[in-house]
Amino acid sequence: MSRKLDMTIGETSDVQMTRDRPLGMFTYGDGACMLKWVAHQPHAIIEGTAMDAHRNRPLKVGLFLQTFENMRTRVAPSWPDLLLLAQRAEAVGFDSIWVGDHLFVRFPPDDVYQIWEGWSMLSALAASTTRVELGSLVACTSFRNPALLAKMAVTVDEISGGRLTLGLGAGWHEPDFRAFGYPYDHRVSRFEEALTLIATLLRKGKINFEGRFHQARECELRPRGPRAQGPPILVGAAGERMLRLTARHADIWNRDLGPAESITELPEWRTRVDAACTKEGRDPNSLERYAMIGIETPGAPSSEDSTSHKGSPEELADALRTYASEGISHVQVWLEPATLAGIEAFAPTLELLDRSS
Amino acid sequence: MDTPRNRPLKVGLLTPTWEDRAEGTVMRWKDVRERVLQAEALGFDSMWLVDHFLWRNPPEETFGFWDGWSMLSALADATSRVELGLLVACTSYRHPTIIAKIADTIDEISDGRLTLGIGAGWTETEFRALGAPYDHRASRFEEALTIIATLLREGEIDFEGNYYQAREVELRPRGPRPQGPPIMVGATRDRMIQLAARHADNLNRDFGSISRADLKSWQARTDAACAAVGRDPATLERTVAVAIDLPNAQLRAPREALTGSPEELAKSLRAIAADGMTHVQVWLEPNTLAGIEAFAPTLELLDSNG
Repeated sequence: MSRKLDMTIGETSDVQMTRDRPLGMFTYGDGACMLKWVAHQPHAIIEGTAMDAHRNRPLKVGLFLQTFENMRTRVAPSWPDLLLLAQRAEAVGFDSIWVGDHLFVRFPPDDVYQIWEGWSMLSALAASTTRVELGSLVACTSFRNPALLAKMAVTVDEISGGRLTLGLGAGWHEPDFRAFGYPYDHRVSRFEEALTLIATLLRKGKINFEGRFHQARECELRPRGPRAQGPPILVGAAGERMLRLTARHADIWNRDLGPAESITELPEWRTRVDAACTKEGRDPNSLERYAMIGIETPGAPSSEDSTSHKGSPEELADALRTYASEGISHVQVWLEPATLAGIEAFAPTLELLDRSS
Repeated sequence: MDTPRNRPLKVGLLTPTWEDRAEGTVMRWKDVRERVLQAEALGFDSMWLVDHFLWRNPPEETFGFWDGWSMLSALADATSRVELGLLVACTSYRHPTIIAKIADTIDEISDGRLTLGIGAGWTETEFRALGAPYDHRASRFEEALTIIATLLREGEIDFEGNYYQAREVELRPRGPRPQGPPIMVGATRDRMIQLAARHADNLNRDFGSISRADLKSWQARTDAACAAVGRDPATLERTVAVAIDLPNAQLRAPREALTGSPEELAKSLRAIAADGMTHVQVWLEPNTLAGIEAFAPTLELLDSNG
């Protein structure tokens, strides 16, 4: 999607927000538990093959799957198109596939962009892929009942054999809220309750919760998926309160970094996230850091307004190594073009990364 | 496998997606998938899952369910022929606009094999666990159904109700069917039947009585509801869910169910078709792979036009 659209969205420093990417709040990823669980899968064909080949990769690289219409052609992808992209991404060695969670995307003046329902897509991808991690980037906790969201996450984790990361956020796209009559006020306070509810249900299996915004009485999460603690929780956060909540409850912090030049902000982000952890009494090393970035693939017709990383496979691999050295363990790539050709053109970058020493 | 020409009504399978506490077992995804694929191979016309969260009814054992919509979407990818649906989705668990969006998305993934079954819900402890409002369920359902039906058929709505808002919402992209998947409403009470007569393609009666008199009464009330809103009753499809106890059924509680040899079961199903039902969802006992295989001869008999 073009980075050029001017978004008029209510600004709250508490909520992660991107001004240059209309669908820009996404997050997701999983880590070390994956191999263990994959072994329990009926189709664990990857053991000892593709995964081992990635041993030297300095960070995981995911594909942000564009489940919405192409900005230039205004055509929405069909399921067979998306399936083909996902399976090809898996075959060329992407570590993960991420899906956005919007229901209704409208930007001024009056453009409505078409998008499929993200959790249905994630669930079908869970059934049709075998190795890649899957994630919501990120699910807005205001659009669905939090306890139900925990149930959905465990179910998709089950279907995928433990490959889900549950990406959560407070939401930022006001038209989504307005269209459904969802309250747009107190988003961080609402998110705090929802995150508490979801994290408790996933990790302890039950909760009796009476909040200001959410209730879940004598609620139990059963059955449980393949992981006793449920899928890892990732939170997209930028503001202080959101960072503190991330440090308190999440396994992973995610940031949509937007333009390539944001790479220079990484040290500052590291400091802020570390500080949030310290304030919450948490070892900063125990909180994984992911980032969403844009990459224009080698040979792609360059659009003047693109602010994504661009260059040769060597240059792209170098940029990705920089993220890794700044403590980012997983990036979600907004690929341009987001087509089979784009995936193929990016594959050499993945191969170069694997040869990192 | 094509749906056989001579089958007098479609036969769907309710597949369990819940814990069996007494057995100490949980249906894993691979179990659900295996059963559904086997049932598809053996000629069932459709697969149905429930939309529940948690069953708590002391002193019974509490048990939980996988999320029905997530499982259904995965099955949309895993299967290739059978129709798919929830029996039925509760409109109080998700915003109606999201339900419409999910329905079109799964219809896309399945290439037009979804039936959108919806109802008002009835399990109060589950509503409490989710913090969902249990009051005014029929009134809430009326608004939800209006939003869902309008979005699927017209693609947009601007709605301000007592319980739901859907302001200038457009449903895009659209799935494989311009009008979206067919809408099936689960209803036994007159008010819900009236709502179905106004908006639904298909009316479903859930498990319960198997008495032919009860079925005829439900049919008559449905015909009257259609007439009251000026709808040709023949345009509202009727479907019914029935329990079937196979010879080796082990029931913990008695239930009203069809029983007998494959010949007798086929005869009972033909009678249900003769009473105007176009589709029956069966809840087999035992609800296992063995149960599915034991029921297959009944499907063959139905096809042989006896």
